[in-house]
Amino acid sequence: MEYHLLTYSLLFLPAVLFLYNLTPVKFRWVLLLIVNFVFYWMISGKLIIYFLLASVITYLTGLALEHVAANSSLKGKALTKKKRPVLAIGILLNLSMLIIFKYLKLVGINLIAPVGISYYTLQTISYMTDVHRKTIPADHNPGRLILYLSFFPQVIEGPISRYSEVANDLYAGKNLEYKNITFGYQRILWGLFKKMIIADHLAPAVYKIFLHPEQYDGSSIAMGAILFTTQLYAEFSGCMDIIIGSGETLGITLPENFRQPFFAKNASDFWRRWHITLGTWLKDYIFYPISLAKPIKDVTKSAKKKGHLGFSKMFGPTVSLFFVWLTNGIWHGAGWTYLFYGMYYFVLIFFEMLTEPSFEKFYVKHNINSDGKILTVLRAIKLFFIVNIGEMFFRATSMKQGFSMFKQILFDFHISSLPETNFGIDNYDILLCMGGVMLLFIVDVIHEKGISIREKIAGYRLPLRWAIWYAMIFGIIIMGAYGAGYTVMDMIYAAY
Amino acid sequence: MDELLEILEDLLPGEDVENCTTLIDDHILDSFGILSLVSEIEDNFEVEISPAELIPENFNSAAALWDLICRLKEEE
Repeated sequence: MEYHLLTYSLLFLPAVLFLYNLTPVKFRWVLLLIVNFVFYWMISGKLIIYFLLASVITYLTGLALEHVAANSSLKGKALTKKKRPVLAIGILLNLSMLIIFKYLKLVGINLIAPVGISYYTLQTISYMTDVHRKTIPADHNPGRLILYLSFFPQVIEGPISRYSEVANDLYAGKNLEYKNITFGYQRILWGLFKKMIIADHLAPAVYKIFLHPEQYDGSSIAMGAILFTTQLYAEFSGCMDIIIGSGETLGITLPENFRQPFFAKNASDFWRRWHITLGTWLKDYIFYPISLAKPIKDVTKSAKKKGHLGFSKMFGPTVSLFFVWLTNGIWHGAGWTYLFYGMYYFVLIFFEMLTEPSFEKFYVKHNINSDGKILTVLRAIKLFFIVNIGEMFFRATSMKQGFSMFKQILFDFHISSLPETNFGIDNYDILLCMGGVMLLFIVDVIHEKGISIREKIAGYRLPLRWAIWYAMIFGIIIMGAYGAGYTVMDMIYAAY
Repeated sequence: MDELLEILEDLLPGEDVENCTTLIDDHILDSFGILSLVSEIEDNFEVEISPAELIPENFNSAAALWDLICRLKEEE
């Protein structure tokens, strides 16, 4: 069962809420745990065994780390050193499962991976590392730990949460509240709108162009790349709305994964707004540890002593950044296009890091407002190109296809042929998508201004309030991409 | 504390570093800025900052940073 199917929001989730409300407070976490198991069994069947194995490894590693700390006379760095092998074993065991299921296809072995393995593995690593760092204590209740790792709304495609963020909420058995349920369902509705009205209507056009790009000229391919970026944003952020909204109905706050990414100032800012939980995970568990590793610090200090100040400042962040983007690329899958995608952003962000101080000095020297309208528009256009080119390579079936598409955009671009192109979707779908994207843009503008639309609507009188939500419900029922002539599209990020 | 404020002022010119309590929350200090700050603090105060200490609570304000430095000094 995937989250965008109506059976999830109209049957599964209400049944969970009903049973949750009937259950005494102290047993609610047990009910949620059972629900998680049932849900995971429904989507992954026998492969649940690998999920349980990862959970047991994580649980025992946490206890072992605590045991070593409690039974050692060492302190500080010496103790950290002593605990490190325990952490390394825990991480290696869980990572090995991810590698077996995700990357053995490189040597011709294709295994069906347990659903959500890329996401829950990152959560197991964050839990074990946080126990190692003493940011959190090891959980002695295996049920509570598994509850955190398996929470049904997020187990398929994140957001990648931290134990410290959600474990206590999940365990608390909070009472259901009217506001949480209504706000949660409103968010689910908005997610369904993005997924069913925008993303799923665009899917056939994207599929058609990326299947045989050689049949199209550069302008149509560029349009295909833009459509894919739009589809991916509406799809992934829409699914996040459904997931976070589901948590909200139960009073559980899951971390946000998107924050108006197309209003970013540059590529690094974009990644602070797009797939946020992956970015923060990479920052906390790859970027900082590598930057502060002894060999990196030694090189930096030596360069500083010799007076190479620029090099000493850039060396650590550059090496760490490389590993962050290498991990980001290969996390998405075993393919050259994903590796290229990671390296593409590494190069872009490296140059931003390199040139930003000079740009700032230039703006100050010439008294230019860097947040002025002209520069903001120019930056938005630059980011639009950067993101769409990146997503085109990300979606391409091979590097060869990606480069040939890029070549066609550069050397075979005829804007006049665009209206003649058959994208495989009719005018009705095109109009619907345009309307949907426009609404999405307006909502993002309002959110960027810090206004909560749901709070605003909640302040309206009852008839107007309900008219808005009914319009949304009937909009999805009437215009959603399902039924005859449509294929229900799988969640894109569930495949990573 | 004055030395720390000087480091912060050099790193974040134009910001009210003495009173600001949202250096991380308001994205005034990004991850690259944090690394520069860590490097300066380690050199000037002879402490070692581990990745576990790189959390918003320790970097949101000059006061929080000063507490971190004092704690690390005590632990050494």
